Amino acid sequence: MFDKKYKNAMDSITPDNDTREKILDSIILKEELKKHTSFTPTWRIAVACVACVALILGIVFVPKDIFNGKTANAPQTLSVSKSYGEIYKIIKPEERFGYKVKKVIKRGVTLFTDKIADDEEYYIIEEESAITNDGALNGNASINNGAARPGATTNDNAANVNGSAKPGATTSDKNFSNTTEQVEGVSEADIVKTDGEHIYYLSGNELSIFKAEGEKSTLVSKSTLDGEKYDLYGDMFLKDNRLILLQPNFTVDNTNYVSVVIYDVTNPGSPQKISTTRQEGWYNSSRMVGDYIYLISDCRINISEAKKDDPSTFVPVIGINGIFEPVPADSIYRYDQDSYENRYTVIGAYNYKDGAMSDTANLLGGTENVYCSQGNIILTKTEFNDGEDLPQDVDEFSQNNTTVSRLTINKGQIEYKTTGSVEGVLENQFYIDEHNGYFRFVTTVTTVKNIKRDFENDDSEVVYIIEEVDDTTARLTVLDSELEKVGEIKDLAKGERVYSVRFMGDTAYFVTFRQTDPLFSADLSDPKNPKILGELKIPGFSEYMYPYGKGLLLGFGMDADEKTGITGDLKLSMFNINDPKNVTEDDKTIIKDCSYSPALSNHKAMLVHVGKNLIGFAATEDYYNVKYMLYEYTGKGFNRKAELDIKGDYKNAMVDVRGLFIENQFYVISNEALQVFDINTFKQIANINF
Amino acid sequence: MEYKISATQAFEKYSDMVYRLAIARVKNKYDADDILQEVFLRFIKYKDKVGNEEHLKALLIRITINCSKSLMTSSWFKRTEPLSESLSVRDEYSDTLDAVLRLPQKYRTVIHMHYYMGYSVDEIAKFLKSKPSTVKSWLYRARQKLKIDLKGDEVNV
Repeated sequence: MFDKKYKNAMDSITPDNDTREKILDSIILKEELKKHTSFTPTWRIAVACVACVALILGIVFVPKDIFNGKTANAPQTLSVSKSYGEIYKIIKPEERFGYKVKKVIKRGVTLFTDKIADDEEYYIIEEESAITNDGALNGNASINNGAARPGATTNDNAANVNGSAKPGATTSDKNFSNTTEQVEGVSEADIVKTDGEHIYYLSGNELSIFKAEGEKSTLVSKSTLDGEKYDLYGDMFLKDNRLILLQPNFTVDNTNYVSVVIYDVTNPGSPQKISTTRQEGWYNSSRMVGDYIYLISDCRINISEAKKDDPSTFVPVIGINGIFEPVPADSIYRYDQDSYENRYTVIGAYNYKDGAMSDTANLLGGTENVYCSQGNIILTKTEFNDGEDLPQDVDEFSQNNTTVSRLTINKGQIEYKTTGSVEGVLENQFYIDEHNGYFRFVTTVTTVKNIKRDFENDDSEVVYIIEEVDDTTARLTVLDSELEKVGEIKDLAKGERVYSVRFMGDTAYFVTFRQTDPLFSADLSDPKNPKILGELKIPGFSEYMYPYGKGLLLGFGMDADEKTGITGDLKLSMFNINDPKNVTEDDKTIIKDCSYSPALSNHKAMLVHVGKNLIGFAATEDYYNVKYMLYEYTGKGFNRKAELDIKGDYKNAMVDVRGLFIENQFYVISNEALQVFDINTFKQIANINF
Repeated sequence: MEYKISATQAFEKYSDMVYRLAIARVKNKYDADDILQEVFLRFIKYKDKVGNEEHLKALLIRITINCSKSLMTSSWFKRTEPLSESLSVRDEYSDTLDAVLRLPQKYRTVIHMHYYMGYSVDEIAKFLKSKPSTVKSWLYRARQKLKIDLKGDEVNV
């Protein structure tokens, strides 16, 4: 029976104890901070600082009465930390409350509290920390000096191999397809890579390398990598004779690391491991620009285990050859003391040849989306704005805002610049773009209107009752290099959400959707005065848009009923953008009986090759039989070139199928088999199970 | 009698409910962890306004749905193995769970709220700020998809 089975399955799902512990820590910390910090002088200074930032950023909601502790929800620009002690003070609750805190354990969960709750008998007091206000942080300077900058540690092993490798020696002059990427000159990692001679495929902890020779294709090696078969998959870069593996979820003592493993694949039959570096945290994203890989991970700190004299317990650590060192204090950028963050965004730069870490930057706070150009990394995070801190005369506000941080990257050096904010939320990296020194964002804004306020009698805490949540609108915001707003277009597409965005130089194209799919084009040639050029309404929506040669934009998404907005089958659209003021949908095709594709949510699962005129993606209707669909665009319409049956476990085929071509062969790879097809006839000419 | 609850008490009581709804919404542990934390941090601001147990539950569900709206897009999550494996759900139930999690987000949300949390169509519509007829059609489409996916398994109304 469905409902019983589903109930039983769900009943067995609970958060990990470790997670519960960390979350409880932050809840207690925030509850305590709310009670205690709002009237201290340091808080007032912090508020004043925040207010300044708010004014500079031009945020509309400038607090009216800052010394009552009411402040705008403006993001703070981070400042570089001077010592580990400074960070410890931010992270550790005792240091911040300024009074003794009891550490208690309840059903295996550690909590900090200053009071015993009503149900006292359930609490076991384990220890009472005796930290006093003064002198708690003496002696930290020596720790600070003692910590070596991880990047400075040389890797003997790597140096040797480096000398023998000849990068670029076997660079292929063949015509082949690459991973679909957003920004020219910025490589993105994926589970499949090819150099035209070999195909590399990463699945769990297995690396398979194939010689790509049409019908004579062979599996030349299959290596089992360190660790177990993880539930999260890694990513790869390929450059010259180096294969750079990013493997998430390497766990030691409950701490998660992303491993950066460099292989020399001069001889693909036996890849040689050159170095392994581990960066603490969960894998978020990565890019390769020039000779450097930039790895972004999300590191959580277990506050209850933070020890004053051991920075590795409260700052991210980097492991080189098994030796783990905390990142240097001056690579950490922190909020002011009133934050309750227990997460860092760790950015590491690694040389692709030997894996040597050249620099690291660590920002207190988490990251959701990552955009990277050749010179900048943009990190974004959604902030939930409940309006509590807004001044009294404001009666509407944006429910979710996006905090944006900018870092510069240059030949393996990373430098944090500034933090700003745009109203609304964005969904993926394509919503962000850099052009001529300006940063452009398209967001979906939910406005809360007509808020009622109530005052509580004694401490005049402002209470908001949300009266009305307005329809969503789309917004385009332009920020300058200091992340200050210079221009915007507001209140577009009432009641709709933004589904896909593509920036092309001075023009932005974006699709919103509720029942029909308006494709907007916007002129951004004057960053201070962006303008909507045109709007095209068609049924359905595109999840991604790809430039397809001169004057054409390919949309991939779903068809939908114009009246109900209920989505149907997959859809390809070709937009004519020769005249951005008058965009037309020249052609479309609806892929009958296919309602799901992994390429709806992952641009790397899509093959778009204009030169070869190939559009490829995996598709399914019933989730059991997966097909790889190949289309061409004739100028008059879409033509289905092939519909290839994919081998492999359907669950994995759903997510891990990639198609690529090398010269006149088309390769489809899943976690079970590499299938080779003739690119003209699409007859299968080889099949390699592995 | 005045109703009073601290964020930690609410967490003890409802963390599983919030977590499971978050799993159904975002279908990965890591985002669900984030949402779990965010929900209760946001709840701190509202906790004094909660009138009763039902109000508390509704508030938490509403915040969970809001939080999971913007937290569903990091593309690498899309490449994870079936969730039932990473959550160590027993084999006999894992097909059912995976089938639900393969549904589009709005479908799996209504399935979860209807079959697991036991809410009626009207109640779900309120939580999702949708029309009851819309929720009904989502439930219908979701059941159709589940019937195909689960083949023999009967999906009750």
